[in-house]
Amino acid sequence: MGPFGRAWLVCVLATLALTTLPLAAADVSLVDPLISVKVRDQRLSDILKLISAQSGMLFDNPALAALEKADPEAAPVSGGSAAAPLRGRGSRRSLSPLVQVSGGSTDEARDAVDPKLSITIDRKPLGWLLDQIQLARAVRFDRQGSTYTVTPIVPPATVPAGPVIKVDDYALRLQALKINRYQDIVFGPTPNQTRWDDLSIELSVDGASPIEDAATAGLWSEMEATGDENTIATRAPGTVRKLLQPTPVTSGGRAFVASFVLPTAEVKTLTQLVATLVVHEELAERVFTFGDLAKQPSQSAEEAGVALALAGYQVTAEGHRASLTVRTRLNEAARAQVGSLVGATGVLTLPWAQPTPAARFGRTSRTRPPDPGPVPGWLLPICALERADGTRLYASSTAAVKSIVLRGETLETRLELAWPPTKANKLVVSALDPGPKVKELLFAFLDHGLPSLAPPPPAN
Amino acid sequence: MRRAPWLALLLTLRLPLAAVEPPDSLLDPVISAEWQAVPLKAVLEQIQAKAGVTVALAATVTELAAATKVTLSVKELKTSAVVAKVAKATQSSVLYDCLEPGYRLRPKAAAAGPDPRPSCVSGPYKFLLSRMRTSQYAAQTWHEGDPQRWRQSQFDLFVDSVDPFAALAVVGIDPELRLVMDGKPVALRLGAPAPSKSATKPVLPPLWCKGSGSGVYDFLADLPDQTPKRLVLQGKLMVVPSITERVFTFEDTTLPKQTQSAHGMEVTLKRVARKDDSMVVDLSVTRPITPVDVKHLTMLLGAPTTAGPGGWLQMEPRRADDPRPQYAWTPTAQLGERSLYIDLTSLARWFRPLVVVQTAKSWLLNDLKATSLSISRTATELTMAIHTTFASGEEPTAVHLGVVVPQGDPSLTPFEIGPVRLPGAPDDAGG
Repeated sequence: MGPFGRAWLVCVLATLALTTLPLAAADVSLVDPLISVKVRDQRLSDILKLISAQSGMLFDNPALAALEKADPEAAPVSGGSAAAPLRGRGSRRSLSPLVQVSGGSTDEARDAVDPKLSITIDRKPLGWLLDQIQLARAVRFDRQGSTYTVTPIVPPATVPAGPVIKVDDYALRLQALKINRYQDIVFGPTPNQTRWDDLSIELSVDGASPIEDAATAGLWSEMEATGDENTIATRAPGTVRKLLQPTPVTSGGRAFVASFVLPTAEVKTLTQLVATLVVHEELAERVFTFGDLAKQPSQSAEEAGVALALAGYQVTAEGHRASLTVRTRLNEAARAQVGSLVGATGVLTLPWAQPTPAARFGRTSRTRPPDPGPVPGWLLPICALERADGTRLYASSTAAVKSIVLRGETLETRLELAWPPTKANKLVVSALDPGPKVKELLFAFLDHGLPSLAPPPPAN
Repeated sequence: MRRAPWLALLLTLRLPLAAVEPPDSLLDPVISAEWQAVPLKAVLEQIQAKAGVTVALAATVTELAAATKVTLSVKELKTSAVVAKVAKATQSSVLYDCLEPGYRLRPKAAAAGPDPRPSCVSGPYKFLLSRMRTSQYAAQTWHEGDPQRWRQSQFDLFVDSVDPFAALAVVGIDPELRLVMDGKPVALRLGAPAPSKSATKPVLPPLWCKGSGSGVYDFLADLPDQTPKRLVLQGKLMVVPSITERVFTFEDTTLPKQTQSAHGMEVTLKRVARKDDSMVVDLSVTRPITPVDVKHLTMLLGAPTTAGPGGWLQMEPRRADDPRPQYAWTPTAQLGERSLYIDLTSLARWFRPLVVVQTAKSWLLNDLKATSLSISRTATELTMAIHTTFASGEEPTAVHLGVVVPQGDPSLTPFEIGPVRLPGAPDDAGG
């Protein structure tokens, strides 16, 4: 056997070896890693730095960044004093026994976007901790790939949470009921008059973990409302079916808006709202490890419905770079999710992947800042460099995406990954596989009063 | 005698250039025509071919109106005057769209009756109230705090002038707009987005210029609890007293780059590129900045700072991948590191680029939907870069650029519409 033949055999053996490398999700998770936190009266931004150092996960807090930019004096001060004077919002009630929101400091604006928290947990999943912080009604977390966006909850804990129903690993919360009555008078050239009423119902979905969150595929709903004695508004199943795609509303991620056109008669009570939540029943995290990158910059691996191809890897003075293609076989519902975002070409257009208009003709000077749109939670892979001590450095998934194309049943995601200089020679990739099938979960809300359009009685 | 061959050569060289006569105006060019019982539709097409501006029949007009015959002779008249004569001959009303730019004729014989829109005329301007959309909103939310309730109406006010120069002179509606419903004044907000829609609308610049581009101004009124029966709208239109147009003509479109200077302006034809059935023209113009330019751009871009001129403004045709379908354009104002999306209608009309490509057969005016405009400024000068595409494969014989300059402090033209009885409102007691 000549040298080329030996090289070929080595390649085959290496490929065979690599296909055995994927780690079971139970052992390693990049989406929901285990972390330990023990802090008292620490700013959230500092806590997130600790979490980021442990897990690799990235956090983006635009409200805090804007605050610091507007007022450099409000720059983070690590730690914080438990003896800080209580002012402004005062002590806040926490719904989580494990996360306590501290009393307001002298800086109310900063407290709103970067509250002080006390947390003690040991080797718990990151998603679970973030849920606890969210439960304490401090901030909300929305994940896109390797980055959680942190959004302050306004108003904070003083407003009661909406009605919530739990089924299996999912909670569906009623966020808002909104009625809009339109009357359109067109004076001319062709005079016309129309009137219609809309009821929009905002619902948010909360899964038990980031994996369940990512498995959310869609929601449709039907409702029945009553008004004056003989007024009943019913919508048959399917007529208000929503696309399998979350709709961004002010209440944030994993939220849906169901809109109904009402009869012109006034409705007073939402007697029944039945929502069907569609979830990917067997969504699973597939974790792959590519070792010895310096010697093998091109590798591939495959497990279940996910196939990876590392096309190149290099280390320069600026840091590490890697080119990776992830191919995921999608079930029908997942294809519908992607299909709602792709054009006729099958190419997914992500708002944050588009360049802004050219600064001058023919040139592109800037990149549009991340704009978390209605992107399925399972869509973006997470890629991390792993150091010798086992700690990981996540690459920004949104910045890395070069193209996402749906080809038949397979979604092909091409990534150009970048990391700052660090000592690492192992690449870990996590891809969420929606699996072969979906299941439907039924939620029913009964007898909720609807907001009234009638003006309030005149004050005496 | 020895000079004669050179002279002959020079004359030969000059002849093709002399074939192109620079026009006085692209905005309102002078034209001549003779029509003897020519169908109205054909007359309008001929005006468009000569003047570049579109002249169309209103969409609601029937075939009968299109077949109306015109007998008319016009010699070296401005296009607006020709359109007015055609309108008079066919008993039509005329609307002018300065963005197109173009005229729309509505023959009275073909229409169901007079325009039912509440209107008034003041100076060269006609004001029409075209729409009132009332929205009653009530919400209970578990993430925004207290229940919310409001009731408001959005009005569309259309301002029109058939004189193109008067149309370009409009700066906006004075913010002191006054709406009286059933005898009581109602609080107004010019162009402010409705609360429920705010998530999808951009932050708007100061509002007095809102709508000046399209001629449609929208404003919101917080309504009283009782359904109103009548309304009166009073306001003032802000108008620049002087609008002048200078036309620059480039007769040789094959040169790689050529510059002309006149009237304190400098115009450069950077490129005329033909590809298949289209033609791309790149131009730039630098002219002295006027006080009303400064005022308008300061509102859109912010005041110039010591660090720089205070930003630039760019508008380009809507890209196919633009995720905001509500915009026909993708306008961007760049303020330092911050980019701000604005509505095309916020830009004053006099910035509308006027580029004409003349061919042996046609007089082609640029389409705004295929035109990009970038505006930057210094303390003394205004520079506009224009990139426009023409859907024509013809050989260009000349490129003309019209530069419009506004001068003087805006003056106020008052108007009053009403009283208007609102449709669907219950009658007063006794009628």
